[in-house]
Amino acid sequence: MRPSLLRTLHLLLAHPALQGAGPFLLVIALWAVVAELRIYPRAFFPSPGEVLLAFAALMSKGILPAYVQDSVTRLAVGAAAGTVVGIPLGFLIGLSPTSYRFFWPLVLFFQAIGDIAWLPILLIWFGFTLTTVTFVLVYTVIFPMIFNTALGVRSVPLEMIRAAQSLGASPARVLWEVLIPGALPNIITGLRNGLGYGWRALIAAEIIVGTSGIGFMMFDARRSGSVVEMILGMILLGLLWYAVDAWVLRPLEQATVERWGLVRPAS
Amino acid sequence: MEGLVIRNLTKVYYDPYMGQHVVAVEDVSLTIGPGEFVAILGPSGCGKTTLLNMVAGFIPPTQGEILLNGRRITGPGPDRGVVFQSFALFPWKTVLENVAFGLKMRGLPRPERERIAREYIALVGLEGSEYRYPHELSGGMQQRVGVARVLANDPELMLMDEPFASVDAQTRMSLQEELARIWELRHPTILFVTHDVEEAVFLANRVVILTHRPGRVRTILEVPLPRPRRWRDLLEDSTYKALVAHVFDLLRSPQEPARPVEKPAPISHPPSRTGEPQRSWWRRFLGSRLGRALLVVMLGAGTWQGWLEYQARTKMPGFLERYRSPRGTVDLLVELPFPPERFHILTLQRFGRVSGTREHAVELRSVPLPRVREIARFYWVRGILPLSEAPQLPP
Repeated sequence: MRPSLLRTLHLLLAHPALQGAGPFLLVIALWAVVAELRIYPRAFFPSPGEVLLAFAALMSKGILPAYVQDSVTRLAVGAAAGTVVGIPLGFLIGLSPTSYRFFWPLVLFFQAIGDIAWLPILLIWFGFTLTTVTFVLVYTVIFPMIFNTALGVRSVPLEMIRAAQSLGASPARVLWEVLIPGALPNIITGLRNGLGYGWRALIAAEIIVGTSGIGFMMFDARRSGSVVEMILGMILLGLLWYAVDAWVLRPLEQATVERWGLVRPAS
Repeated sequence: MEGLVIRNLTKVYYDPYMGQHVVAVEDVSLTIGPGEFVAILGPSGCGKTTLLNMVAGFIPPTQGEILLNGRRITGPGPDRGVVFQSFALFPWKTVLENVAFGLKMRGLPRPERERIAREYIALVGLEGSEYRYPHELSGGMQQRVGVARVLANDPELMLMDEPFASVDAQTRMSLQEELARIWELRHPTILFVTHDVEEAVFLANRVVILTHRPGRVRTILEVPLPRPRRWRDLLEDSTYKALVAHVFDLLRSPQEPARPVEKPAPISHPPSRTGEPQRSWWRRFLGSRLGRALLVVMLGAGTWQGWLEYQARTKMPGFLERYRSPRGTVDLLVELPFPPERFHILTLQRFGRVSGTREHAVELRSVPLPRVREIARFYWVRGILPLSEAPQLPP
């Protein structure tokens, strides 16, 4: 090979996007080898190629886009609702001792009743509907948001608040200029945890409540014994979380808390 | 009454760990005239910071009162600017935004407050660092920002709480000279709290020496050293040396006050643009990864929607023209390129009643006319026919 070709090849392989894919390529290769060795029956242990074909088929039939859209929309709605309710409640608990004494026991109590534990009664109340799924999701997202926001508010250094006050900031300005940005590292942690738990709760709820969504697709595949679709669903779950991290959470962190030096950059 | 008047100030607080009341400050009376530089000197834990916090309005006194230019102090306010030992800069604001903070709170328009802030940034010698964030500055530079932030707000009284205690010795000396220079230039009224004898003598016009807990005024010393004061001149000065020795005797402190260790200045990465002004927030957003990703997603989604719209027209060859009225329903045969599955039947049921399926089609009855296009927009729909025009199946 010519040196320039080698160089191009090296540049291509050294691309960050490919470096991120490197570990996965290894796993896929291993999977392909095990599948080709036919240690397990093909129907139980399909090869990567079969999963890819199933992906193409489900895409062309319009099933996969619709289900992914349903799941992601539900997650976005849950995250939005959890943010809108969780952050203000977290601020209230973090700022006011009275509301802390009132809300904290309630928050602790209801947090212990896990998302899935609500499903039986929700199925009686709302039936196998979207309301049930949304309830479970919002419920799951909201608690990490409350906890981390309250923690974030309390971890803003007192002197920073005092500095703002002695520069003439009103309580509302202190909230906007100091407490909210100061609590942001914890709020983002809360969002990350909330979305992570929410993603899992959503799939669980879709499996049980199921009318659409990735969870439903995976559980529905069990009826037809389609292991390919189950594996495809699992892969999609991971990929979608990867996308949420890379396109939403990481840029948010890089633009705020890392830029301000509140946390060290990850890499 | 001009200046700061402290009358019979006492602070008693409850120490929950010791389970007892502690008298931090006892019966302190003090007057500071306008344009005066007064240092409060005392060993660690003598209540000097408590005293300053009461003057700043952060904590209420147990007894006594504090008046600033005749007004009673009840809480923190912009008439008293505070420089903290921990700097207390806002990490999410640039140097410029930090210095302009007080002016922003006063409601000054942006160009005006940035002009004033730049002036004070220059005064403390930080030109060129306007758009840096605090974590990209060394400790000494950060405290210059802290001083500029207070000066820019033009307070009636400047309170400094061991401001140079957490920077290294060389930086501390140059910061002290800077502060002396600024005071000689502008004569702000300063109440300066420190445990450092040399610092107090070097900077102040008067040094107030407090006793160890409870903090009472032990002595007030005039400092007759001429200005401008520079370390280079004073270190050899006999008056200065005698004063320092005298103050040491007065303090007779059994334990040497602990001095915080200087933290090394954090290495800034990535290196930020310093001199050039920031781009507007939306241009920064579009330049970010999130912004670019959103842009690509939105452009892609728009293209895709356009393509679906274009395809939808070709799937309904003209038959809609016959149904001029927007109301009414139609029975359709929805053709698919593959045998219909449960998903497709469930989806199509949202538009009408599914009366049957064929090998590559679904019979859909009573579809409202305005919704036919929605069906045509599904990319997995190959074509739509009125059921009357569809080939009849053998019974």
